Amino acid sequence: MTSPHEPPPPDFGCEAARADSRAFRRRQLPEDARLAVERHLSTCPACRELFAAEATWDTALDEHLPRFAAPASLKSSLAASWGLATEEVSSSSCSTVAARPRAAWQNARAWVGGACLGALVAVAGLLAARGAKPPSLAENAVVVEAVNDHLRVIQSSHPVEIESGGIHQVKPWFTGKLDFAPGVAFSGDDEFPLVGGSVGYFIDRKAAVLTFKHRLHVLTLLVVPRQGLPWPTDTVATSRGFHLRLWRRDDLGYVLVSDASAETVAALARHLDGP
Amino acid sequence: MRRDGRDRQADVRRAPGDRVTTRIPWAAEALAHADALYNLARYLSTRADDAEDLVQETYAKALAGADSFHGGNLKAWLFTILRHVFVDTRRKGKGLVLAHEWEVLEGGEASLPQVEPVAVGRLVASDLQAALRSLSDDARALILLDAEGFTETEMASILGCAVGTVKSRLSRGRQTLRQHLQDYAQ
Repeated sequence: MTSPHEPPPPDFGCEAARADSRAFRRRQLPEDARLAVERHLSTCPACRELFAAEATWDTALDEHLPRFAAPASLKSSLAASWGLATEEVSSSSCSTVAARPRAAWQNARAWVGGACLGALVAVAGLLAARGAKPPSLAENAVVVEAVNDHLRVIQSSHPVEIESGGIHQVKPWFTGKLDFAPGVAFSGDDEFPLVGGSVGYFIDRKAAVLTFKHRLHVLTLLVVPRQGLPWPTDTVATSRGFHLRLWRRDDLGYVLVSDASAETVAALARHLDGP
Repeated sequence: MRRDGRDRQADVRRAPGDRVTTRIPWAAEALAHADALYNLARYLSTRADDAEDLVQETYAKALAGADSFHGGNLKAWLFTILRHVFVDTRRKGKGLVLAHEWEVLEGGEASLPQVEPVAVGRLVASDLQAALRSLSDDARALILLDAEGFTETEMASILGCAVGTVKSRLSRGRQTLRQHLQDYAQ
């Protein structure tokens, strides 16, 4: 399906350019219309600023708005009714999530470019603990949510609901509040004292939140049932200056996040049986 | 995505237990959009089980109407069905818990205050989600369809309105969203 765009008139101005702003940013304009917008932007600082602002919001929505994945049970049910094996659905679904039109937008943003886009909230990169791998959009969503949850912890006036007297006090506190048992054996030490625990939300589900400290730094461990989430395996990530370690144990996903150094986060992750 | 007549025909295969099932050749492609459809359904309804029902009904109707799909944009076709299911469910009062009416209105640009773009760095996912849920259904749907990468023409087809309406309503919806998020911009 293509857009029914007419060839741009020679007096292509602000109003016409702004009407095509969204299609331009999404790279959905025909070549002649795209060139007309580019020509206009090259001579119009006001439109350039407006386009950059809109591109920034595109990114914010793309990277901050949680995406809900269809439950596995729903996919299985659909697959059965359509005469497919479940594997055919889940593998296709993964490619769908990864196929969001992000890369194309980034080219448009690059053209809009400049200082405004320097403020974009972008995941700085995902590097696998054992060899680099490119970040997928789905994995980025997990990283972005983990950083947001960490920020909620450190900005909260009551960051923990149960003060720690040791892990054997904190873990039983979760009983009845969660429908899973967060498998955490490390009870803190002098270097990484366990501050306490709380129940938070990770995208669409409850999470066990354990808060550790290292000097003046807060380190947040989130334990989440990972079913339906694209949880990375043994992965190191950096986002907005925060360092993260992500790993899986059985059906649970773990993410440790802090503004402490990468080495400090790695040291606590090792205590927690992480990567 | 163009398909010839042969591609569009369902093939018949023998399933375990000698039960004969009819398989749509584009079944895997259709079900690959389950996450995207569920995501929209989840934002349109306030409960997860309602969203599942919407997606189930969407695929049931798509399967039943498979012969009416003659090629073109399969994803947009499925989203159009979802929209119809959503509207029908609401009209029939099936108990779906909805935040707002889905109604695409003609309307001009709203003169709402702009939020400084640099402030988006302080956005929190849950607040963005809450702000999006506070929008009308059509505005919320447009923002989500936009994020899915549909063209304005496709969005107009899904919502059953003019392309100009999509442009103005999407612009207005984004501005309203910014207004709701203004606290994070200051």
